[in-house]
Amino acid sequence: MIGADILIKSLLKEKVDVIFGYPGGVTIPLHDKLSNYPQIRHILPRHEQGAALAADGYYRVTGRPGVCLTTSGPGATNLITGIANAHMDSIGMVIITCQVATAVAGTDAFQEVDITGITQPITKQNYFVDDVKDLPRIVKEAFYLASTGRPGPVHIDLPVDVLKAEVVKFTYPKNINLPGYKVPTTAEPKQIQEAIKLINKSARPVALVGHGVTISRATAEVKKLIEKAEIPVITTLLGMGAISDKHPLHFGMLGMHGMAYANYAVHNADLIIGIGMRFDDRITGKIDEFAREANVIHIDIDPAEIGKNTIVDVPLLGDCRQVIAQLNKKVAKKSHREWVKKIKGWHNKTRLSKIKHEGRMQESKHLMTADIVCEIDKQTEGKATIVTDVGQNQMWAAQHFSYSKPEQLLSSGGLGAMGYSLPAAIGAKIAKPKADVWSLVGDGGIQMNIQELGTIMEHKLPIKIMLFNNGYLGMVRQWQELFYDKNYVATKLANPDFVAIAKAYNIEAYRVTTTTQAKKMIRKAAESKKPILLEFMTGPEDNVLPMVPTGNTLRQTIIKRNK
Amino acid sequence: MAKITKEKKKHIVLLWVENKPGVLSKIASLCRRRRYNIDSLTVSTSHQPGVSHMTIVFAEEGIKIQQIVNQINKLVEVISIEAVQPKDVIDKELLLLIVKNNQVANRLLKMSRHDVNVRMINTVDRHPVLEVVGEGREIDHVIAEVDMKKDVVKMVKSGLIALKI
Ligand SMILES: Cc1ncc(C[n+]2csc(CCOP(=O)(O)OP(=O)(O)O)c2C)c(N)n1
Repeated sequence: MIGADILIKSLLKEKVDVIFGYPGGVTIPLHDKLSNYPQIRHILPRHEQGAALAADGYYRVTGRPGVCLTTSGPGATNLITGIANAHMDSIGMVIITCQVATAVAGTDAFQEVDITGITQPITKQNYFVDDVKDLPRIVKEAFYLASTGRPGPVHIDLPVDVLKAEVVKFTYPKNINLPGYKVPTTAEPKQIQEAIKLINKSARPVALVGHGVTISRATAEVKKLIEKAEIPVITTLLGMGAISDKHPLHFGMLGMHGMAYANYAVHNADLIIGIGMRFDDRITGKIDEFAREANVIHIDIDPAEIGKNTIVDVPLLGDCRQVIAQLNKKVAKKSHREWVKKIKGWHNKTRLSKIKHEGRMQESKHLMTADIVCEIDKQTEGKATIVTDVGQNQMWAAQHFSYSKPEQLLSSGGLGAMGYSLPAAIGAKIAKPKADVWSLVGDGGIQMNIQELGTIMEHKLPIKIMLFNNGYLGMVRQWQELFYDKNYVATKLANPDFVAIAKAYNIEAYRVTTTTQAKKMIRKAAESKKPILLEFMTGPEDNVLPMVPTGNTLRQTIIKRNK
Repeated sequence: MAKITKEKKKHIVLLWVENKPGVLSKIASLCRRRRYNIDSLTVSTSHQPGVSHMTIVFAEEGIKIQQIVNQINKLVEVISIEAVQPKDVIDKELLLLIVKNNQVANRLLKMSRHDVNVRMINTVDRHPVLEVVGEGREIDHVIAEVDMKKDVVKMVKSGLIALKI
């Protein structure tokens, strides 16, 4: 037995069933051994960034850390965007990079980079394995750290001589000894009391639900809380689906491209209960005036998030599910009929269906992404798993699909990494073959990881790729239009024939230009058992609205543009 | 809800950390990327095997010390961390000075008091070498007494070590 066997056996102990991996000089001993362990499926992306983002998609739909594996040097550096993305969005991930032999480490050996030095600020923890006898402990710690507390990526750098080292016996540790690692669980009773006081006396409360609710599986508890005390719920981008859009107390998403009524509700609230979210600048708008009349209760498992961007009146440090359960025991039954009515009034005035058509071109001439998203929603009965890219397509996908389950929307939130959609969709589909996975992507973003069509082809993954071709880097163009006098520098795209590219990968593909055609083709995609790509020719100058321009308050949400 | 207003004072932070490779660089790099300016940082082994003690001083005005503490505490190797008030600690710093002449040396030697100890320890090319041991603020006091251009050939300082009492 060698170090490579030890690694694989350790991974099996952690119930790893898929590795997204890419080989190279120093991984060969490991890839060689992998063929002896058919329990683990090895998926080869076409670029290592695809491996990291697929591992991300895997985590988001299963809640189990995704695993990726690459060679040293360029293989490892190609992972960086995916690791940074996981770090920003609290994604459990274990990253294994193989490294040059310890004997030559530090000498600028062929394909040597200081990858632990590079990943240090974007991982929850990282390890350089000096000695094969440490390997089982490190793997165990890595999975524990990746999946507990606030989840995150953990990186293991593994020199090739450690992989090849002869080992007599495999023993996997039972216990973990990390004296500096604390996982908060329940909040202090005194703080719970304080929170209850604020909730009971609030006349205009709003619960802000973030990714933490999905991660801690707190949906049922949150529902109980908001129903008992009649608290309107608004979600962040990554909180979409944690509470169903169809819930009568759900009032959309807040933030820069959130719904105006959601932003108004937050702006006018007298109590904000932030649950597993982090008051990011994309949702607060101008921070000094964010929820200016509100007390703030902040529930989060990461102490460093509390008080980072905003003053918090009552911090509740702990796991969302357990903390909300504590609140539920004490919270008084209450009705906020007037407040809910007020938000409903804003809702009726600024509903998205009234404002989605913000095209500058004639409506008949171009398709609208918002319409396509609505149609996908309709035809899949809101059951699809939507994996967005970044940009306008992402915001329209967030706004116009009705999410009813946690992690039904996969999106690169904190990092906003273009190229996310295709590989993350692959990871999600491989993790959950039964999920109906739709990749929604712009003509810019698809070209950042278009090589992953090869992975889709190889594994015949029936992913539905909805490509919105507006001929621009749309979101940047929108900013140039609105704030830089239409000076469209570096945003007009010279595009290839996407349908021909898909076909070259043996993927069925169609270009769609009319609404009638769109409906028909979306039906075809919904029913398809094979990979399919639809290229929608959308309005080049359509804008995503509502919008809160940087530095403005949520009250200043732009709903319609003056033409 | 208003934006957080910033505090003004010198902040001493004490840490117990696992003595593992890379810990110092992790802390230093975290402070760099989050733009926390370190005034001084000392680290050494302690009474516990495998555990090191660190004293970090942030002298910047208007920082959110609790946020810094929380961020550093997220590092897995950090066993415990605490921001302390000067009155809660015994703190010491060591200053080594080569001064121009005996006149300067004598002036400084007269400053010796119960909590600051100035000693002549050597001469180099007829320049007196002084050692000053004392509390951080006393050392600052001594430094304020000398004119760097006129009185001093060379000066180095250890950085603060502090022990919670
Ligand atoms: C990797 C990366 N590079 C650049 C950006 C900046 N950026 C944000 S949105 C956007 C435009 C995206 O264009 P496209 O993929 O065509 O999508 P659209 O906005 O048109 O839907 C750009 C360039 C980014 N988010 N990620």
